[in-house]
Amino acid sequence: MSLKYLPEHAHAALLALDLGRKEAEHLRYSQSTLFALPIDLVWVQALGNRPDLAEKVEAFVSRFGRLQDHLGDKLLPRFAALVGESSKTLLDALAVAEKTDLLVSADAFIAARNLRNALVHEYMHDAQTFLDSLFAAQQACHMFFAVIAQAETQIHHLGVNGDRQRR
Amino acid sequence: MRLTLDQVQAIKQTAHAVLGEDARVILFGSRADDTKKGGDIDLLFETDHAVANRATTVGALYVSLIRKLGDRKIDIILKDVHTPQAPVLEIARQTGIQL
Repeated sequence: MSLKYLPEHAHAALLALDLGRKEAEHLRYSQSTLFALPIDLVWVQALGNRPDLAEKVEAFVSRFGRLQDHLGDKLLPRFAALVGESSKTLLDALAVAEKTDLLVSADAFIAARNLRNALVHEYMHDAQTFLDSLFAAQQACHMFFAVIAQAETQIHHLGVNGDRQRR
Repeated sequence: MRLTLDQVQAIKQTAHAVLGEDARVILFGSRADDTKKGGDIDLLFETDHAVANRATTVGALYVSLIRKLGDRKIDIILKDVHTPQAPVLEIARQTGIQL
């Protein structure tokens, strides 16, 4: 019988998924509370005088970056290893993730990485770019959550059992 | 300037593919300085047109550059007709090199 996954990588993949789930929940909270606000150009232009709102944005951006880094640095490479694919670089891991349907678009993931720069610096001098970036990040959140959901589905379908490997 | 000819070509191709043939690119920051080593690639892309969604467009520029140059630290500023003036734009124009 051939294995559908490499058991020696199961524990690491499950740990990455578990942490990813937790980080996704934190981001989901920040996203849902932030985007419940009436965000438009005027709202962004007022951010400089509203430290409470600026802090809310920063919490969202921080959690956004943390989840994306976790997916790119840990979860996607470990899931690639789980199915016997080598991924030495982020671009490798993204290509494998796309091939295995863990991720819909590697390019969308790469583009989302660049949003953080705009979301940290832009509201001071280019409110429109900041606003565009904020809504793009909202869309990217759905992509990240979909990766977590798909990873859970794949773990289930592969029948991965981390406990068996650790014994 | 510390970019290879192939890298310059890749950057110009990206500018033209995403922003149109009349787009301009300026390399600024440490890569424009021959006396330094390493460093990010700081690029100012300029177009005389209005860009519909600057975040999406910067994303398209970034993806194209990462695909062409490999996964490296690239900082992009996009200036279209609606981008407000900012000190960083002046610094880039004054100290940078048009590709």
